[in-house]
Amino acid sequence: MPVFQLDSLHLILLFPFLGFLVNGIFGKFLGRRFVNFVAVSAMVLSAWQSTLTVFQLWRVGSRDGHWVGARLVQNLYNWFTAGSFSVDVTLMVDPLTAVMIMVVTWVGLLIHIYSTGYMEHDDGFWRYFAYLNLFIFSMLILVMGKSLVLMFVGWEGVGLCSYLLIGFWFEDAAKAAAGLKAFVVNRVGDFGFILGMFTLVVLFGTLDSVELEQKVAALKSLDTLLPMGGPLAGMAVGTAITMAVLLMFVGATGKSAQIPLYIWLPDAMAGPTPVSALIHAATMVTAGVYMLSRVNFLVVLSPTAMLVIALVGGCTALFAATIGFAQTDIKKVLAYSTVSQLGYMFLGAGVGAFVASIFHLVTHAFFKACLFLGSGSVIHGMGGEQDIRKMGGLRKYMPRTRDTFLMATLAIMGFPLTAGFMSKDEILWWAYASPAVGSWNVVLWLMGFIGAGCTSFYMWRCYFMTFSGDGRRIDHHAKEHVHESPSAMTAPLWILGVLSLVGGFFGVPALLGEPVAKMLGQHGNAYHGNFILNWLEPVYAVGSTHPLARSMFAGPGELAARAGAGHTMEWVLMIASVLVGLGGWWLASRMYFPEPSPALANIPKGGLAFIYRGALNKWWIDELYNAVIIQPVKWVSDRVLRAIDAFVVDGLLTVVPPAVVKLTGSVVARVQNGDMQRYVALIVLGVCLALMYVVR
Amino acid sequence: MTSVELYGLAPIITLAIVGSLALLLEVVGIPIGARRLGPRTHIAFVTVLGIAVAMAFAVASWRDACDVKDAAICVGKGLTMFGGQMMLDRFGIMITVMACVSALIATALTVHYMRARDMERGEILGLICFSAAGMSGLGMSTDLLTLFVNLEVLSVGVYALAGLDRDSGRSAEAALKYFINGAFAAAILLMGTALCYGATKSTSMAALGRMVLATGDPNHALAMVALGLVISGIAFKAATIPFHAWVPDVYDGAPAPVTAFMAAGVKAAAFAALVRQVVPLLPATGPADATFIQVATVVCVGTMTLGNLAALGQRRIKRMLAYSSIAHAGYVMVGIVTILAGRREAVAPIAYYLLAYAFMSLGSFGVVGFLERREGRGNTFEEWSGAARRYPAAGVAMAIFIFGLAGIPPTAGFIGKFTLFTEAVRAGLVPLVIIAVLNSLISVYYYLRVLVFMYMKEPDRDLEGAGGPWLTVGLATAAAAVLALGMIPSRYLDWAQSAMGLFAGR
Repeated sequence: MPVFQLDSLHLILLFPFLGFLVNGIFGKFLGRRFVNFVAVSAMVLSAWQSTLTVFQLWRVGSRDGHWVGARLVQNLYNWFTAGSFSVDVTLMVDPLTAVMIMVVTWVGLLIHIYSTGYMEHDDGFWRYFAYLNLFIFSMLILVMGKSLVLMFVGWEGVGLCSYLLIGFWFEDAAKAAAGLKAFVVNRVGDFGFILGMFTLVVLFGTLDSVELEQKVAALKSLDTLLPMGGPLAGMAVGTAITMAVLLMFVGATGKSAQIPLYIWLPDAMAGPTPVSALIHAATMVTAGVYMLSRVNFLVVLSPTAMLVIALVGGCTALFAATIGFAQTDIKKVLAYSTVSQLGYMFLGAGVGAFVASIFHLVTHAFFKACLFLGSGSVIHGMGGEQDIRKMGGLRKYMPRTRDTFLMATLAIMGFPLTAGFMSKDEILWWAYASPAVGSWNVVLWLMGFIGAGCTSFYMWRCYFMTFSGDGRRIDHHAKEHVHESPSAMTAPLWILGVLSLVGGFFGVPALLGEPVAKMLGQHGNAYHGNFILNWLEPVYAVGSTHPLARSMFAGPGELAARAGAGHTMEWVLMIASVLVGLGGWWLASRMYFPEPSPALANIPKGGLAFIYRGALNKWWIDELYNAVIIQPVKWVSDRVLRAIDAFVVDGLLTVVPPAVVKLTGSVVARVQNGDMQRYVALIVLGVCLALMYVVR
Repeated sequence: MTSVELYGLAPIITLAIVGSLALLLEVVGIPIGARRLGPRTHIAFVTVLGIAVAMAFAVASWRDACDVKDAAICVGKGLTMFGGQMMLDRFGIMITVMACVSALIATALTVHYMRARDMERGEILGLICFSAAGMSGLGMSTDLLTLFVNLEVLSVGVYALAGLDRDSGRSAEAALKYFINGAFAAAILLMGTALCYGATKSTSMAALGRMVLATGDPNHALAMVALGLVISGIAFKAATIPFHAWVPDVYDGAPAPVTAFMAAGVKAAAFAALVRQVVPLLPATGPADATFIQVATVVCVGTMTLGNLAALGQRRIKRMLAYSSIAHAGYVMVGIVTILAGRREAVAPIAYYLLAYAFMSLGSFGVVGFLERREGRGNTFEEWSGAARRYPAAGVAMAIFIFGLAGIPPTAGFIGKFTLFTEAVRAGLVPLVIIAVLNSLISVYYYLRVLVFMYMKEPDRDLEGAGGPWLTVGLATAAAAVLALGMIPSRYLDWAQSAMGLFAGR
């Protein structure tokens, strides 16, 4: 892709940063209206600027009417140089980043507008908007950083903002704990990310994404052994790349809440609901998916890593969906749904269908943001109630919320032609058809397929319990003041709801688009209706044409062979997934429409009791982690302290004759923890050990 | 004393003069007109000004204390002083600057702390200057005798500083513990020096290194013992295992600004001495003897792991920070191991890390000093509840220091760890780096707890900060430095790189 300098890139992230500064420093003294104005107008300017940038990109990236892609870069300064390894602070917008900044700024803008309504009764509004703007700033750094190190800065920044916003209502100890959990679990992921970066430094000597791509493009063989003497001495290049990709994937599992690090996301729902929509559904948690796309040229070189990614994604998609069955907190249902949907994105990336995974990222941003904002509207209207068992019949009271929630539910269940249908189906098809994962393809497809059925079931369960019925489950006090939310909240809902329905037309697959195009009179030419595929293709050019890669794009012939009857198979799978979605709906409507069936009370005793109890208790994963990781660390830490105490305070008391203690006089009597003689004894012991070892 | 020596020692001499002046002013009394500012404010002004002049002297000699690249101008590598006993080179200058910065900020932290306790005395500032002079000298020492003398100059000042709060049992206890342990370590160092002289007929670090490398020599074994003793003596000040035991008690007991000074300045100076003694152990090419690497690795892993695990369980923030300073000594040890593994480039990130840690520890202990009350109260997590809500500025500053200590970008702590670990990985120390990164992972938990308590709890009833303009300036400087070093570190890293030139070839 050609590279162009564009010195206005920094403006995209400058506005949110200014918004953060103004609201963060002066917000306390400014009025509510002014704070709202600053925060929202920062987002308007940022969204406008990113739109302009994307247009510019489109202009410079087109040759003779064909889209060939381009990179816009702005080099700000050299961040640091350590020997031959140098990191620049350079912003870059390529087609992939363009998609991300559009989602981040525009969805971000909608959620800012929504928040002005949602936070209308809260005193901490200025702090809230300052954090929210800071989050957008960090997220933009994450997606615009040319170097992986800069990306890591954004990566940590969004984590920090997420932490601040989860603990936003810090009166509550549980919420503070949830924030801490999110941060610490994410650091486990970062551990992998950092080690992955170190591996890349050793391997390629750079962390600049473009330079990395060039170095990968120049690779001749994966079997070359790395030179002796280095830390990866004797390892084949391919193995080292697998290691790097898997380590970075550990980072992705942390940020994007995949098995085994997903546990923080459901707890993170303690924060304000618009935050859940923006950070924990639409943007931050998709950073891992973005990261894999950013280094796609490395991922495709490692079949092992791809299989691991696909399997983790598939398992998460299915596993989290089952937990969604039994959750009664509306936000928890959506949280596990997010975990599950992110699993689909990883499934897509793992089988090499990066475009499909990014496409699903975009549509998911639409419908999941809509669902979360809808749930926020419900919670707002119900005066803080989150338990869907105490809802029902809300369609009467909140018609607009209900309509938009329905749109997004249709999208997530995969109703034909909705946004969710287009993107999820694309992923499922590639899971089946991709040559990258060998014979695992059927397993992967099956996971996604069953997961789709589960998704439809738990979403309709949530929908029915919230909106249908006669409202007999709402308690009297709540019923008196249930109200529809103000238009600042419903307007974003409408926009997102409509996008959930029609957003899929950005990426109409050839299967559906080609006949239509033919009907409209386009003949002969290859199909160009899959807009997002065309747009993103240049990003994956190196990876997909790399002679060493096993990407899905690599072998059309193989692809056709795998697909068997070609289009027929694609039709079959598509219809199957529509049917399984409808099946989920049918089951949910039997059990929960219009009111939850009384027969449900028997489930805990019936044959499905195990699944029910498992789902209810989230399969005891938190308990498992507590037993396997947290308690042992606490135990060791405790033991270390005890050992120190035992050695320093108690141990030597028996060794040092009491007379000596007496002799040391009054000062030592005041020594309350730890005794000098013992420290000195420790020093002597240390010296002796060192000498013994050195001299031998 | 030749002109070169005078030139090289100018910062040290200035610091000594300023220290004496502070003592003198204390005796002379308060000039009319100065009383309005506070009883000892004029002494603090003089001290700050003097330290700044000392720092300016050090910076001015930067050009002359050149690295190997322009060897045409300088004789050897850097300017030798006192017949090779001290060296005016860029590495030494960087340590001098760190000492001055620590002294400056420690002075700023001291003023209101002492005033709130009615213990404002001029000798405090004098002692800070004397210790800083010792630190600067330590950074320039290339001979075991000058090393010893400077170490003692440094230590005697700090011993007295630790016991400043005469009414506090904890403070007296800290001073006594530090003094007795320190005397013991000094004795070990001196014994090593004597043995070194026995083995090499010289007390120079380079000679000791040569003898250690000369495995066939009959005096080799003696030199090894000497080396072990010398390193042990230095490691005591750097607070690595097994010489760390005094740290929690002393750091916790000493007045917080003094603790800040110890954690920032003393540690930097000690590691400077360690680097100077470790580099001569390298043969012309390739890594040092495997035994050294093994010992250093054990010490490194032990230091950071013990520091982190012990910090995890602390209830007192000051004590937690003390253990965390042990952990940070462990991270710097990663750099020492990297040097031993043959990668002299690690000197630059070590110099960076020391400065970054200096600012972070000065700042964090400064905030501790702000909230600390008599007899060690006001130091627990519970007592810090809601501190950031009552004192937002202190809260933001502490957040910056905590993120720095935890190594989160864009603070200096991140760049420090990143550059240090990158060098280590390139030297092939992958398992060590994995352990180090895991350790910094553990540390996030206890660091972040500080912020959880400060930001997310109801303010404690007894919460009371003893602040003022001096403290504000000191903390603001430290916080700005932590951010600036993190966001635009390239200039400083370049300087550190050029300081490293000295060590590039032997």
